[in-house]
Amino acid sequence: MGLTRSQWARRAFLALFIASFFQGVSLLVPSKLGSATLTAAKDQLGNARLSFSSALEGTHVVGQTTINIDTSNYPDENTNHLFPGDTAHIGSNNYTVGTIIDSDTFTLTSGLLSGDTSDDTKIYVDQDTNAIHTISFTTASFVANGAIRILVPANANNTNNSDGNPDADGFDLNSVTAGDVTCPGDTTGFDFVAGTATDAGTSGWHTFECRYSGSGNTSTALSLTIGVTQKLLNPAPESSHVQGTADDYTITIRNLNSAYSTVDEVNAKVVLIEGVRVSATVESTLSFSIAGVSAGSTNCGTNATSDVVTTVYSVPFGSISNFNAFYDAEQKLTVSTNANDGYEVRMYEDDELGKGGADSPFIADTLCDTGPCTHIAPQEWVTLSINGFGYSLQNSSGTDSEFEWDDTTPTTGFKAKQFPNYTEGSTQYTASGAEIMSYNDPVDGSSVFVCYRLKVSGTQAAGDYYNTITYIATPQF
Amino acid sequence: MKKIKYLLIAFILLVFFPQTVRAQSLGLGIYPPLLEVTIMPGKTLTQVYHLTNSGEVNLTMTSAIVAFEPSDETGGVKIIENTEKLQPLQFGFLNADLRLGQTFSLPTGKTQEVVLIIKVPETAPEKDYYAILLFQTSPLANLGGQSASQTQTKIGSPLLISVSRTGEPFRKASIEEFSLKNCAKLCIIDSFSPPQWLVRIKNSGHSFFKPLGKITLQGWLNQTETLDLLPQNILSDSTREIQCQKEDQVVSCQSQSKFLIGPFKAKLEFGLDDFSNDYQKEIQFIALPFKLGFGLLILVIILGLIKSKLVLDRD
Repeated sequence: MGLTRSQWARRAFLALFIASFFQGVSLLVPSKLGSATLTAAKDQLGNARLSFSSALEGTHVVGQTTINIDTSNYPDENTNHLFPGDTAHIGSNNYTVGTIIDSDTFTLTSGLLSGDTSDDTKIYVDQDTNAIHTISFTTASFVANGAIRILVPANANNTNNSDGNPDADGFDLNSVTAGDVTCPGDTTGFDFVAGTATDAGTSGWHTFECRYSGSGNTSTALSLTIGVTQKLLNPAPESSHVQGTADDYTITIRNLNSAYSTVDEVNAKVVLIEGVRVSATVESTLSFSIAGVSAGSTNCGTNATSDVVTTVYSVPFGSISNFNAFYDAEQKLTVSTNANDGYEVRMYEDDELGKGGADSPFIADTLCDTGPCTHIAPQEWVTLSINGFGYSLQNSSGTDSEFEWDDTTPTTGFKAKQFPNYTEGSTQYTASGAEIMSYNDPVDGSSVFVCYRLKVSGTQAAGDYYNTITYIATPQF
Repeated sequence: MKKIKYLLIAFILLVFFPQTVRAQSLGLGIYPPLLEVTIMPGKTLTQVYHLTNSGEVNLTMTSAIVAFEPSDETGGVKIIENTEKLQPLQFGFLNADLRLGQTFSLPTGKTQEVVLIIKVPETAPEKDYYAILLFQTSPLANLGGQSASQTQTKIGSPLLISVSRTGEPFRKASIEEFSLKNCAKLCIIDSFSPPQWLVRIKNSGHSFFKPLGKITLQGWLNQTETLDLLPQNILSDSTREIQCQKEDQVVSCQSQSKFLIGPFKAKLEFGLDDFSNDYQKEIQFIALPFKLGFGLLILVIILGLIKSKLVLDRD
């Protein structure tokens, strides 16, 4: 005989009651939830350079720019991770590091001020620029209405760990406040409120917290940052620090429940190391070269097409047989220097072109057309009836020539000067305006064509005429 | 017959396919290009110099020490051939096989190292001595029976030697000129023309120095701009026009501002081999938009003329 509908209903109700009873009892004595590990945890630091911490060695004087550091009593015992351009806080003022002279000496770009000169005055180079901590992790459990808490290691001295100066064993709070904490964005199970920042006091940990409402969630990637306006100050080297080896610090990330108990936790490492100063000394130098130029060159215009091949040693005009033509020739001068103040090139002739190299007879230096042109002042020289020896210039690379052949008449002219004549005054070539090339900055391969021009009268005594042109290249001081 | 054929081919190759003739070059490099030193009387200084033949011809060189003085206000050198000005300093080479003034060969691609020694006698007056170590090529002896100029090359490296017992020689400067270029007395500039300063500093002390300082431009709305002076050597008893620098590049001392208006103050301040405001000078000027105003005036006049023409035509 089967059960009636009424009996089925009573039995079902009884079963439900018993099940609900045991469930209620189980809720009265809940089982403990096991702590899990947050995963994929890391702290990415925007600036992983250790701060610099040292002090003056011996009493310095006001205005002094050369700084000697204490090499035994402070975290930094040498200048190895100081950099030119660093802002060094010395005593009560900020200075700019100029150059690093040696392992215990560097210079400032301005002199020490009064009050910053005593022995053992602290020197700090703070590393807080871009020192933003980006802390990310993945949740492990459902933790309802909880919080994310970050513990950052700090010096246990309540004053030192938040005075804005680097410590050798932790991060300085450096005036970081709640506004400098950016909590994770809201996501399923998490509705975050504004973060908090708490000074370590004597606990040894600065604490940053982001509370949220919601059920929490598992396997959720969260990320928060510390550092907006103010950033934590990176530590100075640890007492046991070996240069070139990173100091590592442990950041603790916790997921707290509503009762501030830790549910999930993980440690992340952050490592800091000295900056690496890469330096190379580029030696100053000056180089000067002369090159011969082939015949047919027109660097000083087609009206001054060169007639002969020149060499590094000579400008061989050869046998002059046409007394109704200019004889033109060219050489090329090139200068490179990385000296700060640049260079200049001057020239002089030992004497006018003399027969057999003697004083007389000679081919005079040109006076130019409407002259006289001199070794300082150039003039046009295109008239065939004007005899003599002179030169002009044309920039090849750069703008270093004192003048150019086409300064006055771009296509038809030939602006020329006399050569400074040593025998007519050994100082002619040193006169202002007598230089042929100059530049006040470093140059790389500035070059100029020197265009020689010779015109000989039909009455000139026959023979070979010589002189010596000397070029002098010197750096400017 | 075969021989003639080869000769013919060789002749054709030589005549119609000549080899390119490349002009040779003579190249010299010297390091260091400038030596600055302060030395006590009775002491000796040595400095290594490198002279490199970077050209394509072997060279025969000689060396010399000559005096120099500034040739202008831009750092140029004026060589003084006699060495009286360098007395009583003694110069020489420490090389075992080379004396100062002795000829030596410098093959292409090679570097000659010379060790210059400078002895400063105990009795040497405390002042500056400016010298140049010159290396020069020897010209060719024979030009081969033709009219020609032969060329000779010298390359030098200045030495700025300050003799001082204390290491702190007497340094003194005066500001010869701190003015706006293109501005005589009443300094009113156009707002769109950035002002450019002329800075001339005289060294009236006994030793060369570098001025370390800046030009600060300040406007009536407290807007400021700073130009750093280029630390250039100023030799004793000379004046030098100083340039400015920006990010390690040499620049003229000119404001980078595109537009200025109103009264401005420009202050020059520097120290000698040290950043300080030991030396100061201030000038004032006014920036007004002349060109813009003039343009607007012309525009108004043209518009006025057009308007009157239209009125006349209508009447």
